[in-house]
Amino acid sequence: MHVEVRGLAPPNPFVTIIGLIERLGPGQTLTVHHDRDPVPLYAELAERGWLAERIAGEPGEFRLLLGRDV
Amino acid sequence: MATADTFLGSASGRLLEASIPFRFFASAVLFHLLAWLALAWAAPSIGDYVGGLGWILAGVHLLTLGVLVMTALGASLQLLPVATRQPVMSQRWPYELLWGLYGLGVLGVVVGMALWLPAALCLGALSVTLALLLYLWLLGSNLRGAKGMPLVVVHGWAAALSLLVLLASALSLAGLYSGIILLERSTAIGLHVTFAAYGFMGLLVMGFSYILVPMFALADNPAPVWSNSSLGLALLAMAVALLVLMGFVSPILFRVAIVAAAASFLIHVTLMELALRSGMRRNLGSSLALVRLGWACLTASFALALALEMETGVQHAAVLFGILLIGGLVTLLLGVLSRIVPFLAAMHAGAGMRRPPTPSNMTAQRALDVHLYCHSAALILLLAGVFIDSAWLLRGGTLAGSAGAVAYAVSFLHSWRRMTQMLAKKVLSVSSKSA
Repeated sequence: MHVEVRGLAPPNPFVTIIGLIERLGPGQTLTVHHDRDPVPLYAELAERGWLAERIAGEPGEFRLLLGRDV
Repeated sequence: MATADTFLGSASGRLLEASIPFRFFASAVLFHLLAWLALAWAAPSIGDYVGGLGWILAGVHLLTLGVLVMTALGASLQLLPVATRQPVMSQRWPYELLWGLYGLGVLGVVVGMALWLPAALCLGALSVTLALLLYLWLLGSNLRGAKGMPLVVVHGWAAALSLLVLLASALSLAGLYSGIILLERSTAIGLHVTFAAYGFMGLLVMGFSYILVPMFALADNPAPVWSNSSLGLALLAMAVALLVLMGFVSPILFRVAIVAAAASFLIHVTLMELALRSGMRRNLGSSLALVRLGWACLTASFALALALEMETGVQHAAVLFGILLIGGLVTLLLGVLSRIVPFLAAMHAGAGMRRPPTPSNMTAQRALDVHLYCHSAALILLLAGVFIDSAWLLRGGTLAGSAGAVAYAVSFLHSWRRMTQMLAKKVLSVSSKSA
């Protein structure tokens, strides 16, 4: 699953991403297309047992792959 | 999934070095304890306080300058660049100079007030003023380059203008004790209370709440039509209050300012409550209880302000107003800080780690619960003590507040210690790899 949060004002990207991962089934991942490093997100992901990895994206994009910490 | 070096990418540029916000928060936690101790020392005379130098004024300024503004400085230096999508300043010196000048200034002001030393008071006030002018420059630079978030930006500008009025009135009041008259005393006090509490702190807290509360509750942003209405009413209230206090319009219009400010605040609180009730996270623990208690006290402060303005004859109305206003702001900020500190500690400690620590690992929940009970008891006992003229209740209230401040300090130290331990481990690990 992919989510586009570029251009959203804080805290909407944060709320959108956490809302989506809550609905994902086991083994599913979420690719986030962001325009900045979402620094507050990582602690919240850890709290919910999720991990983030930065992956290659378009120029100016901050792309993350989120998955459960198994 | 992630490896250590790919995790987080580059957080540099968006996070200040941990020691910068944490030094402001640590100072606020220390001043919080000193404030309650100063008030405990003077407890029996709190109910009859009518102004002037002494331990009560020192205790009040330990709370306002030491806790409220110190926390606001630390939080806004870190949060504002995140909200306005700008990199933080890479140099450390402006932050260190701000903290040093401000901390020393607060000490000078409160020592001058407690021990009746006008020279120390004036020097302290000058140091605080210089520090806050430096803060204004940092704040203005950030707001000028803001990308989006107009609601937060306008609240920020309005708070910055209020800070200028606050500084002018503060210098005028400090100067009076050394025989320097800039503004008439009652004018300066009116400007000082209005623009310090409702103007600077109130607008800054309301602006940041539009980001922090939906983030904590995992809720959507409030409807702009209502948040803009709240802001409009707040700006109207501040403008009318300034005109009345400077003598440009009839004093009766001050009631309009109070009603407009109260309406603005009630809309804001309603929007925040709606966000909390519709959010995905319902259990925010003791931090939310403090925030709600703070909102209740501040709402009641408007009723007392109106009662004072209309001279309704409520006994000890001015002191009750002061407790509700300052107590409300302190309660609200401590609630927010108790959420921010573990979160920020986890962010710093986890930077570059495959499995970052969780904010709950950084939270000393029992200490925060103890603080909530003691702090709530302190406010209730103080209000009751003033209302029924009981020195025992006042003493009990300030001692409960002191116990709460110790518990709050324990929770802060827990987060700080966990963060520094993890950061030290990372440094050791990097050094051993490079060796």
